[in-house]
Amino acid sequence: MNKSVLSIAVLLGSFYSLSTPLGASNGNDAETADALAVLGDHAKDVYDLEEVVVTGQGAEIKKRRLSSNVQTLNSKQLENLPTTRIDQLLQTALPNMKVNLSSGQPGATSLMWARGLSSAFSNSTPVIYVDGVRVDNNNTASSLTNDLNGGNHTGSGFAGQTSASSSIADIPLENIERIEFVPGGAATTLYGSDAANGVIQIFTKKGNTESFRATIGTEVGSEIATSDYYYFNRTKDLIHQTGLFQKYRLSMESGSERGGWSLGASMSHSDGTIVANAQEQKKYDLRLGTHYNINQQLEYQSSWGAAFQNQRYARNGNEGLYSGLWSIECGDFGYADNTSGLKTLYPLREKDANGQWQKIFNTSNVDELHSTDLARLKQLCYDGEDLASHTDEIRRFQTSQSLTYKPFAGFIAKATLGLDYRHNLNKYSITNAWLDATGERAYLALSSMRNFERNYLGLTFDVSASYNYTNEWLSSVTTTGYQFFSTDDHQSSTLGKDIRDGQQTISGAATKSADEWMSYLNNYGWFMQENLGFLNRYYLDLGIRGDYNSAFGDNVGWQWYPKVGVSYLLSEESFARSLNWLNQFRLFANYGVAGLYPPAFAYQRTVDLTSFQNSQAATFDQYGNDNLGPEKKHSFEVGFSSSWIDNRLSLGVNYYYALTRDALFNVPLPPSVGEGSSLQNAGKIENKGIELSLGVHIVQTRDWDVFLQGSLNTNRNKVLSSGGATTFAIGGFGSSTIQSVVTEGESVGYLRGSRATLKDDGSVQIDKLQNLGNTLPDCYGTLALNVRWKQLNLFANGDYQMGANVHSYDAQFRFRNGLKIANVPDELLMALGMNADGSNRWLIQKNNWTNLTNYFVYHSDFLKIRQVGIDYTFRKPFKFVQQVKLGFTVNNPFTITDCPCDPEATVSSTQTQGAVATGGFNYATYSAPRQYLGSISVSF
Amino acid sequence: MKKYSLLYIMLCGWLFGSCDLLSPDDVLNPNVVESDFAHSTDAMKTWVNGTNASFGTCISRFAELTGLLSDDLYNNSSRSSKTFDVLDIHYSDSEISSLTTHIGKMIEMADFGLETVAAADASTTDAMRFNLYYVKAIAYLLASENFVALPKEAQGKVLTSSELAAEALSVLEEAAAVASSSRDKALVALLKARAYRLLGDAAQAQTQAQTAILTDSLLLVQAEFDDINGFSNSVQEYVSEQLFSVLPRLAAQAVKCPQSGLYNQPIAVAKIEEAHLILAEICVAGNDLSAAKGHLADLLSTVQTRADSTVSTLSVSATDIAAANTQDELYELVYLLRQETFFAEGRRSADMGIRLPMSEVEFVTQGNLPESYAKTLIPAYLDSIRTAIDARSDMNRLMTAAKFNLFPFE
Repeated sequence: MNKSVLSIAVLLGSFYSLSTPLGASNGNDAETADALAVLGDHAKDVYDLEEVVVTGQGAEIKKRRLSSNVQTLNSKQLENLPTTRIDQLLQTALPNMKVNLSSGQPGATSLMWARGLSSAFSNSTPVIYVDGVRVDNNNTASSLTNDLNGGNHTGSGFAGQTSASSSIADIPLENIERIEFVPGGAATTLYGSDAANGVIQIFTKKGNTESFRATIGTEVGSEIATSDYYYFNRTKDLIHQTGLFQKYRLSMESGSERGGWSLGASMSHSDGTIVANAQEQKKYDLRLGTHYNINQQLEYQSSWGAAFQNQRYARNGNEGLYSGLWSIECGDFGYADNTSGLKTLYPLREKDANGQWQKIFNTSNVDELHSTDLARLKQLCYDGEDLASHTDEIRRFQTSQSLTYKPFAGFIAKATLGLDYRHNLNKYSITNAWLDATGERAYLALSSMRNFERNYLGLTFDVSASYNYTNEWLSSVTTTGYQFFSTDDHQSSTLGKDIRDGQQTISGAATKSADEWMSYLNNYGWFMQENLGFLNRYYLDLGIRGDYNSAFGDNVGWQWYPKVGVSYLLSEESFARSLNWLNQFRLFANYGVAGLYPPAFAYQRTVDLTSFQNSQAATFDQYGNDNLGPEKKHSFEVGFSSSWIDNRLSLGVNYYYALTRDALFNVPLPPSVGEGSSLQNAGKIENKGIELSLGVHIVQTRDWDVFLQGSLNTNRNKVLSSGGATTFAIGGFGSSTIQSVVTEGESVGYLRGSRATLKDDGSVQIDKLQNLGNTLPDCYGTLALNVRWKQLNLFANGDYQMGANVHSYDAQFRFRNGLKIANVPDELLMALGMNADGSNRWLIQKNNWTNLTNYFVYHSDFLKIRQVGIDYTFRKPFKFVQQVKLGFTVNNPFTITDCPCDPEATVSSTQTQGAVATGGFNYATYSAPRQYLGSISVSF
Repeated sequence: MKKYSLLYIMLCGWLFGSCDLLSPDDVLNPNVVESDFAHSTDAMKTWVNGTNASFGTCISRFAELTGLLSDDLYNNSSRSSKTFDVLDIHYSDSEISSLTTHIGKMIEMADFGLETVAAADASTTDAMRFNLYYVKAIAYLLASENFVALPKEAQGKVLTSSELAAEALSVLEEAAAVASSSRDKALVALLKARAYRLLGDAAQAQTQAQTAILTDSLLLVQAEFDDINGFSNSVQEYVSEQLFSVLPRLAAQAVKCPQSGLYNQPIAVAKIEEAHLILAEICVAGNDLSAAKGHLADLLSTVQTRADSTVSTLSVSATDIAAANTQDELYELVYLLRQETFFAEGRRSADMGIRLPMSEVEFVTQGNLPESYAKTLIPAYLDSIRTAIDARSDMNRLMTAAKFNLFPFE
């Protein structure tokens, strides 16, 4: 076998890149497979310069020409990663992005950011495209379900943040061919007012050009709750169960010279790890992709995806009333002292002989309960989940249609049209049986059911053309295009109170109330890009985008976003070519502007219509701002990517500096105007840091390949100017307890609360509104190890962060309820009036519970190993069977951290839909469970 | 070929026609834009209703916060201000921006209604105009009673406390032009009396107070609420649920804040009792003690005739009035009666002489204003007892002792 021919073939056809788990081969031909194994990574250029990418370039451009780094992942790399949701998939796979899931509840929102937070107003989640179609990436609670008081449809609001279901969690994941990611900055300039947070592009399989192939796979295993952070020993047994997880997948593809198709389908079911299957989830995903060569010049591609998902939520701590984890862990289900006046605590209650409500249990400490009480509590915990229900039903459809036209050599034109439709129905009911079992009837008289419905429709249309010109010394790629997208989000909420148990609709409720909300905007623009290459090693990249968004104020017109960049392939120079230990060295630098549009309609001066004394009433609503425009992130980047020693070592380092100008802030208006604040482009936010990626094949022989890779990202985030806005909260609770706030001169979303200090003279100093620490880490990254021995593959991956902090409301509430908290010294409490024997601990702690907030803020540094797994591939074990792969994986095996609560599971707590979130509050949040999964896949 | 060209042209024509279906929709707007609102049906009626709704919230907030400043109320365990109780006030406090935003809102809403909406809505009546005028007048009176200085309108000229009272008078003149019922006319007269009192003009105050009594002897105008829709009486909630503590000697007056599932108890903004009190105060200042006692007796009988303890409840009896014989004793009695009459209505702290500063944002935005506008005005006699403005101090006695700096009439 001619190795050089094969290596060229692999180079031209491959999509391998930075983080390649090994043992990944096409598996169709043993000989080819062996040959490939010999070539190993000699053939696979870790920074494959010939690989083409699309994101941020308008059309396909080879990586060598890029003045920035695009991270790519191919289907082989995605194979072993947990495939429940895209953000979880990317947690350890993208070296420069941080992804923290806010809780273990199904569909929970996540915190995603790369290069810090560029906005103190809008969420940092990157834009997501699937086959060129922009999809719903809402990663916060929705407008009608976002009630920061955790309203539980008893009084002011509808359900709280448990309804924060992320739209990212149900993007269909079958049939993914490739994922590209670019961080916001020059690389996303061509997206205009949309992508300052970066872009993730998913490309799905469209079929092969060979014969029919199919794979059937199954994953089965158990899920066990992560109870590492629980304070009491008995908590796990009371509220958790071991759940069964099962997933079945089918993929098929086929094709010929003329065209091909590819189908991927899966269904999965999880019992969940909360008793009474309170976190049960069922998913059905389907994707079909096709490509067809109409003739020499025209190619048609299509992709169709659907996801159907049903899930249940266990009661979250911030919903109020009884909720398993909160009540047990915070000692809330009964308290030692019978003093009343604590209206916000709801112990489990029953009626006594005189018809008076009395607490059932007499202690805050579940570990101290006697066995009969324990059995009763266990039944109550079960009923507490079983008799109330909170379910989500999601139906999602996506399609992308594209036509490519190549009339003559060097010219490609492409048009894409597609949509993403997502329907979400959330039903939340509190039954009479639940109210009686928990004794919450004492507080809440009536049963209820709330329906929340959200319809999202996103449309995308784009057309682009590019022309390649090449001669001996000059190559040029000129691209131009037009892009349009619109988003239509419509929500309605209906509440029925006093409803019979067992009813599935609110039609029988005694009283009904409703609300509605909608948002619509569209965005369109032109772009042009010129990429010039000299002597195949000096590249100059110039681009510009003109953009308009319907959310801009009346005085704001088209916005312009320029970019310029250079790329220099040092390794192509004659002096470098002779260095055989240096395979590739590419230097690059760029400057560009990317934008983030304001919320729809925020520029208008509006009137609020409500009801007052049975008649319509109108008052001032939004002050508006005719000058409202997008935030603009000016970023500069310089760095290099390189590979050494036969591509065994790859190293990339770059420095970035990004300044968000015209940052959106709610600036307070002078009170004489009569309205609170107005959204203005008034501030400046700075982010700077270094991104480093390293990959090394420690051992690389015919039979062995040990590949270790990691990344390190630093970030310094600072609000340079808040444009006159005073300190404001973006998350948390009240100013007397704890909030994450934004102030000029500090990092976005630092924790603010009271600090108690024990002075040398024995007195206690209490200072309010102190900076208790940042919630954004200043250093984070990923780690992965892959070991391959012949057909056996062992892998592990994880991610880490350092420098951030988290506040544990659970610990603070345990303190309030009189439990001894390890890190609060008794000397301090005695200085506050506690007796030496601790006899009045409960009273002192209750009276001072908001004064010692600093003792409940912990460093949230962690290293989480997300996956450890092993698999073995049998090649051609039987006739007609190409490959059988057996594997065993453990997901979320362990964490290394000093933090007493889960440093990652933090309520994201946003002010409005789509608002900025930095996490930082641990409030009875469930951790992601451990999964022990065995898998079998058979390929034909 | 020609016929094919024609065919191609026709085809292109058709396709261009389809562009309409392909172009993006006009943006669907779920909001009501201010510029469109005035032209909608019944805009003025809806606007006036909205102004009244906001007015209720404004009065409730003033009653709540200024009540804490005074000796009337103490914040026990509510989420309301913790600093106002001890007169720890800074111009950057959220309470200051909240109160001044309410005043700004009332003035701006009244102006928007009277200028823009009234002009566009033909169904506007005099009664609607009158409603907006008196809301605006009361906003100026609140400003004058409680603040050192505030702007006349959105980012407008800053007026001192007395200039604000004068501004209220000019608004009341406009109100008088559209006043029809005797209640309306009495209201105008009473509010004028209040303004003249703030300006120290005893003669005018007396005339207006007497006119008010003659026009409507049981005048009562209240700010109203609608808890289910989010417009609730916060003072009622805090007092009835004992989240605020009431000064012990005012325990009987707490009946004005009854316990209820919905906090809809109206708050009086103008009641005829005030006229009697003003007349009594003028007489005491003029040392006409028997006339003063006569007016106080009228006050007691008015309250008896009204027979609504949630509007006014007095503990002072006819015997107490008869027993007061010196000017100082009567001053004290007038101030005690004012305290009892206006309990939970937000008038006490103004009587005590406290004047709040402008908010920081306003002060900085306006620029070039005297430093005194940014500072709280606390009379000397209160300065040393800031943390003891409660049962520990006999406030009315202290006020009487400080009368030459405090009472409006010489």
